[in-house]
Amino acid sequence: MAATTLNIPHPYHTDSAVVWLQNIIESRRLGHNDQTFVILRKPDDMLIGAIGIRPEAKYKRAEIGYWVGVSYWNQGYMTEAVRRILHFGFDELDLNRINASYFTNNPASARVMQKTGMTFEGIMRQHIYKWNQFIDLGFYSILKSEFEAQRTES
Amino acid sequence: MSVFPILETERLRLRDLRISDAETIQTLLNEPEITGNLMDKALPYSLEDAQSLITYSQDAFAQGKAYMFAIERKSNEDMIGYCDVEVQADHQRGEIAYWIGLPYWWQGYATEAAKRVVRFGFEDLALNRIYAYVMKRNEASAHVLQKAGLIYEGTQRHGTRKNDVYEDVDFYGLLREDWLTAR
Repeated sequence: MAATTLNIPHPYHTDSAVVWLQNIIESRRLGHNDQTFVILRKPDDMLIGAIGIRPEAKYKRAEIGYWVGVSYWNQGYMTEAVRRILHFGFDELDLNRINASYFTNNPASARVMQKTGMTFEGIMRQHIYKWNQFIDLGFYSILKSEFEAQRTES
Repeated sequence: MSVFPILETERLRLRDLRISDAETIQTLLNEPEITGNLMDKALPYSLEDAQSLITYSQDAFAQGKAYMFAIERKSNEDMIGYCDVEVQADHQRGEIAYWIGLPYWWQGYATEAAKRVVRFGFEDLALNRIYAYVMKRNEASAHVLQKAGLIYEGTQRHGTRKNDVYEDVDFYGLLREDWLTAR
């Protein structure tokens, strides 16, 4: 799973998780706009992943990022969580644009973006260096107008 | 790099920004035709803005974060424009940007400077990738990127907002392997 993300190391120990959580709490304390949510499965409150949104108010845009545990892949959980975050971003944060990026060697992440109505925007070739290799970074986005149109349709 | 590099081209010299450039920078940037195309600048552009840009360029160089050059003509020491490469060392990549003062447009100076900074990025900074963002409507700047070897990679729809108008932002990139092959 770590291979599919920009910032998650491997192996991932308890102290890595503690650092991650501390960073989130510190960011909140500093009044940063970033918001990170953990994703719980309703029937059993099991923590299955996380999703974050980082708004830039000046441009009314935000980037989202997410991961879900390997045992919970291919069950549509991520698509469900991203849809909810898009709602949150457009309705509560008054954004105009939300984008997400993915490693092109992880097409499953791009499928989540497609299923939530996002549009492919391009690939920054070899933009990321991770674990001794260069990785292409793909981008998707959705505009408020497109999100509203989708909502009317469904 | 302990001493700020001086880069030369056929007609130009790229050198460090000096505090004595502040007034020239302010004059050149106080043009809607220039700042209207720059995503990180707005009017009015004050002398203090120019001074903090110069101070920042010195810190950024000391930390290896960015190389910010004044462009001057070899024939004359007046600053006519600006270019930079901002380094993201973790990913061995650099982002380039530039502007040329209005009186000096349409003479190929931006292309000449951009090509030189690209070469600096690959040869001296050992970068693997050089990229740039440009507002879609700024065709002249896109031509400069293309002539420097960068290829269109995509468009951020409504990627920026200028004077309350959303603007599409194109991104271009050039890989080290492609640059070496093309030489």
